[in-house]
Amino acid sequence: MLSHQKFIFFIIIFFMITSPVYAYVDPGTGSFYFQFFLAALFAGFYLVKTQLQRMISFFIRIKGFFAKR
Amino acid sequence: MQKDNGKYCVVNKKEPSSFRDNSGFLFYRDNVLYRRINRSYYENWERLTKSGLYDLLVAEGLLLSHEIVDVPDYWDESAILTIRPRLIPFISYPYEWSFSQLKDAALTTLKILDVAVKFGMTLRDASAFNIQFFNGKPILIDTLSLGTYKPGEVLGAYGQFCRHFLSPLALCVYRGLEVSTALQKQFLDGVDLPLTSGLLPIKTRCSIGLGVHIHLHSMSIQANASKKSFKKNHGSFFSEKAYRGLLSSLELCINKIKLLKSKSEWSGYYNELSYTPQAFAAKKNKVGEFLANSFRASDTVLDIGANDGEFSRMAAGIGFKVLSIDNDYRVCEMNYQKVKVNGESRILPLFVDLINPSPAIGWDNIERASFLERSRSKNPIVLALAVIHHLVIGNNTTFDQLARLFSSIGSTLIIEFVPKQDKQARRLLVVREDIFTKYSKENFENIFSIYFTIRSMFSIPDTGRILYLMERRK
Repeated sequence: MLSHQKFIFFIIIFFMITSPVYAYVDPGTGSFYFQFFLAALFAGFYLVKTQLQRMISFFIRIKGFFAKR
Repeated sequence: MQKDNGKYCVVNKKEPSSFRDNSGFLFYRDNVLYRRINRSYYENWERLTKSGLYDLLVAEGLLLSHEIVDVPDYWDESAILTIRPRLIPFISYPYEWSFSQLKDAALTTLKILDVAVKFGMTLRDASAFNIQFFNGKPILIDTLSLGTYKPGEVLGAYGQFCRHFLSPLALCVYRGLEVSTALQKQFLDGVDLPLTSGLLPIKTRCSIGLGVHIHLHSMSIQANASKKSFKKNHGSFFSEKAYRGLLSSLELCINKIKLLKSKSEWSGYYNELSYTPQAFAAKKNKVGEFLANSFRASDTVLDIGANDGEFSRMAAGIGFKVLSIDNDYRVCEMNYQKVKVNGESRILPLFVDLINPSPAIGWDNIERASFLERSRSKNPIVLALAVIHHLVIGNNTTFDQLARLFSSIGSTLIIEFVPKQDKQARRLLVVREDIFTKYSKENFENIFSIYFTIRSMFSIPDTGRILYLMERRK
């Protein structure tokens, strides 16, 4: 995993440059390591999504409960 | 069966595109498609069939069903099973699909991944070629791409999914479908992400979905490509939450990519141009009558220059399966939206230009068959309404070239002749010299009669246009 400073540097560079590819590119390894690199982000996204869904279904249930009464 | 030296013999051959997966392959026996399954897939097969995943995916219309059969062809010690998948009426390729067709195919792939992981399975590859349109909806046809999911592993098909779906969809929105389809034809295993990243506008870097899955992903690919050595990543663990989060993030990203609305040159063609309501009704009636009379010749119609599918819909109503092709991606998009809204199962809209139809490409130039080869195998009724002036005056083809081409595709032709005096034909001649001295009804009939017998003809009122029903000479 990259260090904190490296990560920020990476993000800055990301918005600054576009570089053409001259070398042979192996898409497999890049995609493989990329997923590990962002694993925490994806897991966080999943948690936020499921919690949001739970909250929405909770409010729908509450609304249904009061509508019945 | 095919006659060989007076004796009937079984004709079988391997499907040319089926050579990459060592779990099995496709082959034909008497024009019926079979899939051989090898021992190396056994564990996956057991899980797929015994976990209930296969039944669920088939019930949801996400996976093509099959039956287990006893066919000995190509059997060897590595084989364990042969299955016969349900027949897909027409195999189309992603570079022939409209934007929404590709988008729906992407969402279908993600849905399968989402369902599969609950059963301890995943997709080993996410090629867009594994998806076909069946009964108007996208469906996975490659049963063997479902493999066992091992907790802690990343989504192996992630890169391929981004290349096959995300790249062309993003390019389609920001650079046009023509650019996207051209690149899809060039890169059969998906459009390279560094290339896509360079082509997309800078503003897409600020979008979370495209920023992560195209641009950052592309940087990771480039960074790893320049590495001199690789270590196997034994210690890393990609949790199931991260795996599902990745799927959700891809789904959100795909859903957010939307085509900007633009008016096509051809949208509204029927309303604005060429026909009075009476003339159009008369044309529709006669085309319907010609089609109904031709039903015994073939169950498929190839509607050339179909626009938004007005006549394709009529043919489907009679009971035909319809290949509805046009060279304008916006009307193809409109056509597909109608298929979706109306739940039509018989119409397949495709972005194909008859002037330059999809060629045979891939390994040995046979991996992906040309559009014409695939069409000819169906012997369709060729429906060429109001296109002849575009092909002859707009593209300098001759009547002879057209008649020869149409007769090579199908045995029945329904064609509309548009005279040079017609408003649409004159429009084509506004900025060019009229060198089409042989463009006349008489010449058209004489030359087409070399290849076809004219069975019936009908003058469309108030237009000067003529409809013909022709049958190929034997």
